[in-house]
Amino acid sequence: MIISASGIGVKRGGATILESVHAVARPGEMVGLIGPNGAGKSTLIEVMAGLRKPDLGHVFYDGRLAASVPRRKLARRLAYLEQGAKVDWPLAVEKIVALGRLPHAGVFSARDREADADAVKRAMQAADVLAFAERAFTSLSGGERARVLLARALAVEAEILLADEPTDALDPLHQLNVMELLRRTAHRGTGIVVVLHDLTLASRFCDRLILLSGGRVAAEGAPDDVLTDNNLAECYGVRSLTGVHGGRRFIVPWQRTSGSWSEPLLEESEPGIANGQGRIVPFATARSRPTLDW
Amino acid sequence: MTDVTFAPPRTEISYRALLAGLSLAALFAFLLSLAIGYGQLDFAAALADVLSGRDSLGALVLLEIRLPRALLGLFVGFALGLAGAVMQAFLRNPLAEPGIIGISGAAAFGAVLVFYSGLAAASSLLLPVGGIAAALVAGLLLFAVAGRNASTATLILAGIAVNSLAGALVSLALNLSPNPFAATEIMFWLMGSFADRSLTHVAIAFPPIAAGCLALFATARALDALALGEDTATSLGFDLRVTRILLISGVALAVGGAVAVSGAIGFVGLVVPHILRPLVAYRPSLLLPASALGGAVLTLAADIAVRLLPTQPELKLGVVTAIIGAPFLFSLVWRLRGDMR
Repeated sequence: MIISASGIGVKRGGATILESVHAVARPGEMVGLIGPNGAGKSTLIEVMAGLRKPDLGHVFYDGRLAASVPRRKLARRLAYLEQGAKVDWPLAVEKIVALGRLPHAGVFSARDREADADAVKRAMQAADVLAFAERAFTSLSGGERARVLLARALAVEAEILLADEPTDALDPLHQLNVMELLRRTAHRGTGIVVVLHDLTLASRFCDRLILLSGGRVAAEGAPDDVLTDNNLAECYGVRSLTGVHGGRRFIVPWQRTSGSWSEPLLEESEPGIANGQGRIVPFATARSRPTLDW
Repeated sequence: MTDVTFAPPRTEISYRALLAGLSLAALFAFLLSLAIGYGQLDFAAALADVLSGRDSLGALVLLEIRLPRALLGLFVGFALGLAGAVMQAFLRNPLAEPGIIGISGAAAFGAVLVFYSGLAAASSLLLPVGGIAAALVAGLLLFAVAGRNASTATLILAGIAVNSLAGALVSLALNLSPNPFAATEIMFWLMGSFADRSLTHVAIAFPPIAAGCLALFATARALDALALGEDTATSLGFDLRVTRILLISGVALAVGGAVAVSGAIGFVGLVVPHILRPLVAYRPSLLLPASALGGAVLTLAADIAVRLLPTQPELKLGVVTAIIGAPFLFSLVWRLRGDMR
């Protein structure tokens, strides 16, 4: 399924959240949705998921207007992972993941129990939550909870997965786990749109980035083309250290560009440069050496 | 990697056992309710008379006095247990209960209005209509105030508001009552009881209760999905507007119909789902039938207890459930007080 949002405009209480935004999600492609807080990332994901009607513009699923696609049918083809989602009862992990199969159920009971059980098992295996399948959700750590909720979304086995900050509040190891899992899922043909705050993760794992700022698309394209110093300074108001490792760029936001806050900058330091081994050296040092290997 | 079997595990077997046990308990309580009463009655002989169509005194007592009481206990308890479980799952709040958030109180006011205005004399069918209409208004009011992602505090405050409004209106009706005898009668009726009800009462309460329960059962799978929040439930293919309509109309029909014939019987919908929830592994959809049957068992048992207690006059059932239920509510609030903000 191809999701195509065109000319999306959303207003909330007089404030413009999104303005003439175009976004497309395709099978097998991992799209990162980035931008500063309040840029409209979550709203755009909700609009694409059909959870919120835009004030302007339209969302198309495979070329069909969103309003003409029945909710139940859509639910089988599109999975949505809410930001900071929680579970209200101390349900067992396996039962939570199994909720992802609800769109596939018949009118009164499961349509195909075996297929459901297989899908649940695959999702739990992929998200590595089988070890605590029987435990209550409330007894899990933050990282484990995030993986369970991701497994729930994977269990839908939809063509497109829209994930709103799935790495939110996770430690580095769990962030990498989640991103690698999403990458593998995309590799198997699922289209993924993921909201991210970590620019290095966005650059490393996504095929394409959409940079939102102030409700508009500020840049879109390959990570290297989107994550330019200029774009980061303009949209995020930060200057970053960037470098390349293993063919992928990493970005370390280092200091804010001046003028946005009232107090002066703590330190004015030379912009750094990375040496290809993942090390950052001061710019002056880098310039004075023919090779950056220390 | 550990391997987990997904074929019907323990929980599913024990769930069937739980439902079977609760059904048996409900049947047993129902039969006991038929067998226990004030007059001496040879139960077996009376049953034989009823079945063979003989017009004996025993048959009359069984059919006209005991049967309506037992049937009402069964139906009303079923409706209250189910309504409590559905509301708690939908609002994701263990304190949501028709009595606490004012729906029972409003239904009682609706029924009192029908009593008071003399419409009940015109047709007893209007009694549940009044109860249902008032319960519906209360439900809509509550949802307008505390329907979406409301905190426990908001919900309870809205319930207090609805309860006090219903209470004030009932007081107004009593205050304006031209004849103190009628006022006393209404007071006693409000306390909630199955005593002295006829098969006519059963006949007028059954259709709305049955229709309401069907609507409530229809929300089961949406309630499961709602454990993940409203947006995720929507993304799983559930139109929550439909769920909301089913819930409000179902609660209004079931509780309104029940209250109209029995008066307000509180706390059944609070206590029963809470006790049974761990036994169904906290799954909202599984809790519905269990809680409905459990409600029937508890209500029938309480109604048997008031007949066995040597008090004169007989204690009102609503008084007994409140005396048991209110301390339970206290303990629940005590445990929840950390999360209530």
